[in-house]
Amino acid sequence: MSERLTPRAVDKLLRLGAETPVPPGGEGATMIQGLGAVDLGKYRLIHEIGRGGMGRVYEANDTLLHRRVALKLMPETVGLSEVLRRRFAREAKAAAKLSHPNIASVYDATPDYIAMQLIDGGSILDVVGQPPRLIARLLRDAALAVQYAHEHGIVHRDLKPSNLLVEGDGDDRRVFVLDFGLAKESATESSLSLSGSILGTPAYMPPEQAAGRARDVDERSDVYSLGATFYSCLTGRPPFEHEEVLQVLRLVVEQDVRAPRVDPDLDAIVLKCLAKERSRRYASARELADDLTRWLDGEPVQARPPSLTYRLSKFVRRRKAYFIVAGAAGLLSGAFGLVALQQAASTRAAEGAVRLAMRSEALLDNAREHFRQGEPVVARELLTTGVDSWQQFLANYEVPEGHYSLGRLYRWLGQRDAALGALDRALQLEPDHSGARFERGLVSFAELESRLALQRLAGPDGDPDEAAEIEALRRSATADLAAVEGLDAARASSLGLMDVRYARAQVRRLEGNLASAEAELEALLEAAPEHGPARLALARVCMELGKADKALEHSAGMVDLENGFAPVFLARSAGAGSAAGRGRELPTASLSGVGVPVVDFVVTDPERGDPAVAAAAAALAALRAAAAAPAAASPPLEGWNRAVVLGSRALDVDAGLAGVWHNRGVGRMVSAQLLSDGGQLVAAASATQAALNDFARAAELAPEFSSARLAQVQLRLTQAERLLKVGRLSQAATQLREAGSEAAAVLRLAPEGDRALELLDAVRQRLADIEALVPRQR
Amino acid sequence: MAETSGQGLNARPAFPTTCWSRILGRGSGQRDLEQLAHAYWRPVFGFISALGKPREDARDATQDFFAWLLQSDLLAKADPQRGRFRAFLKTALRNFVIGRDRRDGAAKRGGGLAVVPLDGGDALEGFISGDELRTLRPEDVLDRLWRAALVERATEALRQELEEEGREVYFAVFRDYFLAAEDVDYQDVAIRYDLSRASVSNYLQYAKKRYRLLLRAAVEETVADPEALREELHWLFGESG
Repeated sequence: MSERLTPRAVDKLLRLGAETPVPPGGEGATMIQGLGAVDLGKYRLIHEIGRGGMGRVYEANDTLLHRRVALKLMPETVGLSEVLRRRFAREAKAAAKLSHPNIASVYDATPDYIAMQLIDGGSILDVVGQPPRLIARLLRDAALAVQYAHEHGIVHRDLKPSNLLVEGDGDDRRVFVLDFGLAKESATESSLSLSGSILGTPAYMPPEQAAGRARDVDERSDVYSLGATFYSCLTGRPPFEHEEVLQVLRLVVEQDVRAPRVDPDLDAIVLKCLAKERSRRYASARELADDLTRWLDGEPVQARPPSLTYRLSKFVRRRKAYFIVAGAAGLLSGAFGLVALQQAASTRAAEGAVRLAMRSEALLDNAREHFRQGEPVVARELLTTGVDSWQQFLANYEVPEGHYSLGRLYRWLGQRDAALGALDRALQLEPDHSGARFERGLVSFAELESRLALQRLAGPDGDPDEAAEIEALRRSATADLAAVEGLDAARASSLGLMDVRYARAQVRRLEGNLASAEAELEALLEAAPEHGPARLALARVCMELGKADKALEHSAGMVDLENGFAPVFLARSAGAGSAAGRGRELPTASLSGVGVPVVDFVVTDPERGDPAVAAAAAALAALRAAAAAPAAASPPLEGWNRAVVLGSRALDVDAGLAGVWHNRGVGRMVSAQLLSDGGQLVAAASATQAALNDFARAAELAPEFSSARLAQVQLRLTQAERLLKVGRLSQAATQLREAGSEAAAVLRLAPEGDRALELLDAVRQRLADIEALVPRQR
Repeated sequence: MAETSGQGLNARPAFPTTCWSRILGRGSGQRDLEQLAHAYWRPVFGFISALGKPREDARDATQDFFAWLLQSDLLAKADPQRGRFRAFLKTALRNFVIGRDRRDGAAKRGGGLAVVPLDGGDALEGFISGDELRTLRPEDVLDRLWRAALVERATEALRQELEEEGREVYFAVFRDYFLAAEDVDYQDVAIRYDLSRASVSNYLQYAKKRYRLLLRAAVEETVADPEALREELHWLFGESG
């Protein structure tokens, strides 16, 4: 030691050390690994300068280039997968190409951290209370920087005061825009954030983003956020405030912002940025910058308070909505004078309806994302929230838009009858509501598919009444879906162009025009390769056309699209023709809570013909429906039983379909679990035995079908656990030994199988438990 | 290869391995223990001295203690106090002292582990007075010296680091500001090193920030889990202000 510290020095240095707030233990502690290692690559961390949804930010030294940088560490929260972190890095690398005096440069980006220019300054909100000229100048510079990024194809998507830093003093203040390219991927995360709490304030988010319409986000969204930041700088508060994030989102979508009342021209500029409709904002960041320059130069600005005609047209629109509302709610009982008095209140109600509808769309988007992520519980919660809001609202004011929206939510909740009820009501109130017709078409179409499957099962001797009903269903589904052809442009765009084309293709398919359906779907997929339903529809159409290879290819494409979809393809291509059923397994995800993958399959043996395929599909649909059904909605056993019954019918048609055997086993397995949970142990045992037989049969037909074999292992394991509970040790041990040898066999087949290994471990563990118990029993 | 989805979260360990957790994990880790012994011999020495040992005896006893620690199975035993090196040492020291009085001289001197410098005899001067040594509990003596040792360790790390980076002046400024006997102001320091006041301020800011992290890192070395870290930091700062 070179220095001998005096007690006085020790005291001083301790006080200095104590100035660091003691961070909550554990999280984030990973960075410091002992003396001499407070580093990350060539960066030496100096101190933490902030943290947010994007993780921690440190001031650091680049030890090679000897410059100070801001180092953003990628958050290590669960859920931010390696894949996503890599994507972050890629986006940040794209942003690294930007070079502009008002953009903080990105030096370096890896999945672990992003190194960027260190700005010695604070948030732009530090200028609150400064002369408007200064604020306008800083915002103008920021707008020019944003324009520069737009010209390089990068939309920021997350502009807010904490991303606009100001360095320097007095009139030399300089603004820097941070974090270009980092928000794009956060959009994927935001659905998580909504239900969690990672998301920061959405007060600066444009309505299109707040409503979850990701595809509507463009350069004008950045203009909005700049305007919102401008608003905050001028007034000291964001345009919309509320303690709860969801409420802020609602305000952003629903409420008109109040003018900052700083200067008439600046007010007009801010309000133009903050217009709810993108088309009423500045068309580009440059236009905003130009207007600010005009203001700074004392020239007249282009932004105007909303014109008289605009306000009039808005008034008329409101009145129209008002009449629908008032008529339904019986408010129109008084004289017209009374109407005028009540107008303020009911206009708000009508607007509320429209905005509640927008919020429902956001909820739907989120819910779909959760379904895709394999989190049906969260998804259903979101949807139910939407349903509740609407039911409350519709109890007071009946609007077609509300019933339509409710119908959509119900459809996604899988409540067919409720969905049809709501959509019918919407169409009663507004017969030309094409969105509602389209939606009703989708509901009928799904029903039609399963009825058709059942009818094919019954063969030519089917019930003639059923045939007539199906024909009626076909006609109404076709007519409803065809309604999208007549959509006006506005409605079509709100539905999404791709959905319209999808509907068109399904209509072709219903009409029996398979080739045209195929062409339509192919064109759609070219434009939107990630459209899952279209990809599946195309696979089915190809199957119906007998194009086995293409069907398989498109089905395989689904795997990448929807990781909750779980396709194991037992494809019998015409060429292979083996009765045993050849298949290939693809990465699968588990059916909710059961731990066994559902098998989806495309049977491509034209000789086997439609009935088997249709029956298998119907059984699969029932299985899916059972898995997706809300636990409390109906006795859950019923859904699973239905899946088992449909599976049996399919096997009556063709007992050679290993996938169907497997899936029926899954149905029985879940039933067994439910029975066991309900205390019906004898019934549970027999259901388990039946499930075992099913899986065994599947494995017999396709020995390489490891999923079926592992399901047996798992079942025996479960069975053993039940036996253990009631103290029947030797029976449990027998089950476990069989499970063990089966797992080992699968492992020999595919040595890299993680699941086999896991199960084998579990089996061994249980056996060890039993051995430990046995001496004590004696 | 049926099941591959669902995993792939690249979870990192929740807490880094530290000097102390490595020692615990292996049950024995001579090099890590030596490192800690070198850093914290003085508090141990103080503890033993406070028991009334003459200086030379205390010096030998300190050597013996660390040698004994390495050979004992204490490190491998589960103990609720194991999370913190400091707390662990206190318990170990009590055990050692009881055992040692009975088998005085039995342990090999040093055991190949020389942690106390030869001139370490007056190591306590300036930190603890003779009176305090007689009146304070050995545990309290250890605590007080421990604080000094942590600060010293962080300061030394700062010095090394700044010198490696060619920032000797930074450390000189820091030293004058924090280690000197009297208070100095920017102006004095600026004149002394021919710097602008702004540079002095910048250098000092940098060194201070870096020092804080290093002090925290020094504490981290001596704990094995987040809870222990929180307790230790609370002890260090909670009672110092």
